[in-house]
Amino acid sequence: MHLIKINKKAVVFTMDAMFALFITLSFFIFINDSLSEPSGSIYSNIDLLQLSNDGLAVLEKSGILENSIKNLNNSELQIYLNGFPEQICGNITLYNSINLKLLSAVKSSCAESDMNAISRRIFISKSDIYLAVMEVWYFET
Amino acid sequence: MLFTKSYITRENELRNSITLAQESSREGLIEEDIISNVFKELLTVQLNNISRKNTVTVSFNHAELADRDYSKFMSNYLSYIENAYMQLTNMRISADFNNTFKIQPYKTIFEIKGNNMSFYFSPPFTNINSIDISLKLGTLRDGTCAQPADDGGNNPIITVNIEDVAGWTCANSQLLSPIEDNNRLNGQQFYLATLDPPGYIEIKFGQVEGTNGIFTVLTSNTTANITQLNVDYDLSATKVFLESGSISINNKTSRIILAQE
Repeated sequence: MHLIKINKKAVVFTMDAMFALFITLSFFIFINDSLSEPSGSIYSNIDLLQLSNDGLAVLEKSGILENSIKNLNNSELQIYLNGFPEQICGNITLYNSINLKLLSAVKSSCAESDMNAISRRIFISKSDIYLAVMEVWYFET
Repeated sequence: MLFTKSYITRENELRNSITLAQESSREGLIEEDIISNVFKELLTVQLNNISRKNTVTVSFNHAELADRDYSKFMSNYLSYIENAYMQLTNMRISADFNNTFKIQPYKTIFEIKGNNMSFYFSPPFTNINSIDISLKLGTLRDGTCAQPADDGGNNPIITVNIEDVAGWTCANSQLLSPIEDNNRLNGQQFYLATLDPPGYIEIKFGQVEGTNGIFTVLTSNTTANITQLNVDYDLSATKVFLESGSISINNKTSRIILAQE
């Protein structure tokens, strides 16, 4: 019977090469995964912008913006903001046509943030022009 | 290095495409924001619906004839949009609209001007079947309602319902010629005098100041809240829509469509 003599050195080199190949492939797969998904920050801003645009449209169509100006009272705006999901913060400011601040409201227990989305909407009350500005951002602990 | 470069390029391309999409959606939002205030809030005119059966009926359920300068409201609004609002939104905006709109494809022009409101119909007037108006006055009546003589034939039927501030009502309906002279107080108008202060409401259809095919509501020293106004036309081959001027955002100009069938 003829026995094949195993070269121990060769086995070590082969295993070493396979291990290196495994590491390299894992690295490529990891990089590829990272590249195929865009970073979340781009989309999160779109979500916030949609939320603020929709929010202002709802507030205008439901007459809350006009009521707030007529009564010079921010309670309805405050109620609307407090109804946002827990992780979303927001504020609303109402201006007249010469950009004078008339009313504002901030969601309770929210600190201001620089990472916000801003929307604006014109509304009319008794034929006078007003502007509502809504800022929305993610809650930061 | 290669991966870093590829990542940055990909991220930039993605950001660019998102920015472009956002910009286009933002232009749409701004256009909607500007237009949504024109019809109801500034002109106080509210369209109820446009219905199509054997005929097409354009139906409004609110308009206020009061001592208001609608042209001034509109010019103030335009000035605000083209200055303050344009700066805030960082977009080039210009708009061209006023206190009128057009019912298409019938080419009927609607105009609201303080105490008065008019429809200017385009010939041939044979496509107008009827006009039906109900309104509530802000003052008391003085006497009773007068109405023009019936012209008969295939003329449009004009129906007028008036209610004074105390709830007194009168209803009149006549077939009226769109080319009959309707100069004031020649007995060719629906008319009711009002009290405190002395005034009147006058509704006429026909030739007004030399122009045929005009339906107009005139008030003096009283206010009128139009609660229902239906204009019924022959069927049109194309969809009916209400248009009013145009708007241009970042050099992209579009017609203002206030409503469509």
